[in-house]
Amino acid sequence: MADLPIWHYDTLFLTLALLFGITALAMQNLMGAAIVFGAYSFLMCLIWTTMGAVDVAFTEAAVGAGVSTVFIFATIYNTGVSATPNSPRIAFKIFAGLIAFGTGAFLLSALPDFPDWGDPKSPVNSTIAPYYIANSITDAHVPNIVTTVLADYRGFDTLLETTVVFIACIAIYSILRIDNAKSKVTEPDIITSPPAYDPTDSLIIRQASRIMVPFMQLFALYVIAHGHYSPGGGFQGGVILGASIILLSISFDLKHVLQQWTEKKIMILTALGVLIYAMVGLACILMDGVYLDYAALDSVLPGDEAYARSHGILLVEIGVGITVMFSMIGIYINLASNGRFDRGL
Amino acid sequence: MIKHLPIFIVLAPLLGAVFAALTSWYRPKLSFPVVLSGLFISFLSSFCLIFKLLNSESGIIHYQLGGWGDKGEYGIVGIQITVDYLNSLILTAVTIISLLTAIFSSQSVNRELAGQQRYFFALFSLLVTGLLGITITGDIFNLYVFMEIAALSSYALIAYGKGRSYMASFNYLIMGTMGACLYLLGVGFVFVKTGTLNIENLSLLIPQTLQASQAVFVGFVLIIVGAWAKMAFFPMHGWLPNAYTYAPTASGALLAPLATKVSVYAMIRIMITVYSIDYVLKSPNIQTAALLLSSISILVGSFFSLTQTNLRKIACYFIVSEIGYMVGGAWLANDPGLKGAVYHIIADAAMTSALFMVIGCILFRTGQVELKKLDGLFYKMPITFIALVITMAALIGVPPTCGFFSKFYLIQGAAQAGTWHFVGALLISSLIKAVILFRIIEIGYNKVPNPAKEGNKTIPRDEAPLSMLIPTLIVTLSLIALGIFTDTLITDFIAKALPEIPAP
Amino acid sequence: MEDIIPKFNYIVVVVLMMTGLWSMLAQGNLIKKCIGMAIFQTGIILFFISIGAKNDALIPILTEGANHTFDNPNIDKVTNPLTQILMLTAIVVGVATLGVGLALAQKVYQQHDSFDEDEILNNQTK
Repeated sequence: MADLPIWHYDTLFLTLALLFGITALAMQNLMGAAIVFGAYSFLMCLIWTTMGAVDVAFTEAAVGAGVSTVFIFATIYNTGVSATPNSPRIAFKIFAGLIAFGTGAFLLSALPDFPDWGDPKSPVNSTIAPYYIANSITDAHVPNIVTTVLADYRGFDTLLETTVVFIACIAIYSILRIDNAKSKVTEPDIITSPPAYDPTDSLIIRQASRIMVPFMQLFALYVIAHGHYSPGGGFQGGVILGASIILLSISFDLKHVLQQWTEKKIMILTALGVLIYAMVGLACILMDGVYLDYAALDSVLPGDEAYARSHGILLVEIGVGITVMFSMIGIYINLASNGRFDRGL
Repeated sequence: MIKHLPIFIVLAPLLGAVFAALTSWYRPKLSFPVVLSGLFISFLSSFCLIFKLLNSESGIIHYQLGGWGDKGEYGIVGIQITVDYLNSLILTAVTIISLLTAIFSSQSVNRELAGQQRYFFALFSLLVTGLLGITITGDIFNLYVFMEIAALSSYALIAYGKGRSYMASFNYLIMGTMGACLYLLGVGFVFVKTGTLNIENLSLLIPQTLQASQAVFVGFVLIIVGAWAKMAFFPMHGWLPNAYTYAPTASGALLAPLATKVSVYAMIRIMITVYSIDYVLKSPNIQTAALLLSSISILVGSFFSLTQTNLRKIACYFIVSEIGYMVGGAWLANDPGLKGAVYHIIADAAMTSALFMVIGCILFRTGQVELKKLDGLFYKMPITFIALVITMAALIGVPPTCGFFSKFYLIQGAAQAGTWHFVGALLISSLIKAVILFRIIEIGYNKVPNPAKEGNKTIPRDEAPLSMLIPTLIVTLSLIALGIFTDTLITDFIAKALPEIPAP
Repeated sequence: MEDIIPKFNYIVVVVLMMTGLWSMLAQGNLIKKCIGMAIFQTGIILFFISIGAKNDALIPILTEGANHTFDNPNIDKVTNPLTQILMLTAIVVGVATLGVGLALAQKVYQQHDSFDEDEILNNQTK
């Protein structure tokens, strides 16, 4: 297998990423800024691939470049606003510039103290990480070391991360959701309504997405299931599943998607994934282990202790995938329809 | 089951929230009891753990999640949660206050958020999960994730207030995320030089070998500044008054006493355990800067509270000045200062909780909290008024309330260290709070002619409902109880939590 | 110059982070603040990944050897998995915060018909 050339592309990508980031912040047109931000995320994804962080790059491609850009779009689409400031706020900008400059200089003052870039003997690479690399197969029979660390060694962090996604979904729901029939609070309606859906619009997009969506979902299920052996896992698969439904709701009408995936179904299934994860941990306690110690489950799961860990990891990844999928769908629908759940982008 | 108590403390509110989120679609009335039972299990677990801690010889209870403990030369490989003398009291305080606030808020939620409160109690419980997690965790990256759980829930809880709360919550989001990102960056700088994230392992590594490392120092400053942004320490306090004033009663009553204090605990934990007191004393520039900012924070909070007429805004500026007490006490880095700071975390949580609950009662019955319009409050709601007076007395520092003892320790510590500007700020803030108390008494009691006398207008008694009144009274009476039991708390818990402090 | 080139990556990362931080503080437009927040967070993630990278190392997924068994991996040739885990969590937390920020910005827009902070402040005090 060819060695990863860390040096050659790195400098080019880094400089380009910096340029894209500055452009995204400087653009007046908000839609353009969102697109440049998407390009910036893709560049980041490439940089991380060259540094050997494939799982992270996969997640950034799905979450950062994919879903984040769509969220920003959904927020600003109905507003049609460009970012021309009424007052240039010079004093503010100079003051903030001083703070940023000072902080940057302070951070760079530690530079001589850092280990050499790429040094395999630096403290980061020689304290805990060698244990993970050496024992991932013997402990859990999982070749993807990142998955083992994510779901087993540091499984508690992943439970909390899934909870964060769940909180984001219900928080956005609580902030935005307006049920015009039931609510006693009247909100001012300044946003211009999007144009009515015309079925003869964008025939190509509709047909193409009709073909693509089943393959996307199949691939996403593969990513979740094969996360033990290749880059992937619960998060990436869940985001791709969510993105497939978002694609349907962009290319067709949001109403059609909502007939199939009702509001109640989406919000209940969001909570279900966190429940699965937490319950797997509780099952470990009932089987006389510690919380999230999958080896305690080896009496009910097939195989020996190491395989029990492997199956336990798969169970929690499924839980993560379910929560992430429905959270992404829920967040998108709330943002795109301004909480009204009637019409989207 | 007993050995699993530490994880139950965090797991019970989390599962309570998830179940509440599920039941809110089928039987919405069940959400409240489900969340209440989760909080109650958490309270029982933390209470039992205090006794277990007192009975253990080492004074620390560890719980290795996933079964991954010490692997010899590699150190601790998994995530560990720890209960020791420093955080056991804070855990119990957080669980009790959240339980009482939940009982307190059922009526006000029904009135203020009618028809929209599907996920309110789930978010309530998730906020408590985040706060308990910050207190109990033994891993600095895990602390970041719990911090974000608490933060996201609080943004949503504040935004329930409608109106101006959206912009306030957005500003809180920007400031809070900046703080969390700086914290994460600090964790990164520490990680570069040590390779481990476990607090116990770091406490062995950093004081021994990495005293002179610039990267570890930069990490220290970044973590501290990140924690300051989260606790509304001057100059990053701008988000707090707006955010807590425009939030609904229940959110304010939960956020105000707990969210900022737990960030103070996180700062103290990093200062004492990860780095050591020795390290703090060896960086005098940061120490002087921190003490100066504390004094300014106290003065700014006190002066701004004088200019406000809204009782809630006054309370919010009180919080800003109280944070100044705690940060200053911690950075004095001597024995009485640290004792005062840790004791004040618990005392201030109780005082702020009582204050916000009282304000909630007043808002519930009279519909507004402008100071000028509260004429004759003593006659209308006598019990609530007396609770308000007791709470203000505790904030001023009148014995035997807990406020007196924390000020006593803080002043003693500042005098020992020679930081006279801190002593001055403490005394001035007490004076200003006394002025505000007299103003309240005058408006509530003196302004209206006594209805008991002949020929004067009668004012009907309209006390707050029992479900709101009883928690308020419990917390108010605890202020006095905390004061009476100060000695036990200090010698049995807080003194054992602090490490050996090198003599000046 | 000899000193700077090996550490050039760190300098670019710091500049990237400070651009995001400046934007969060100074920009008046709410959406630009959110984008600045995202750039700050991706900059931090890049920082973490850089410190876990190793020269001439392969990705942290072990491949099967000759007899469908896994040999003991050469630790120096496998990229550090720990930093990657931490950053997976950070990415997800970042997108969650971005989502909540965008929802709040949309609600503010519904009230005041503007994303500009100064206009909103003027509107509020009227």
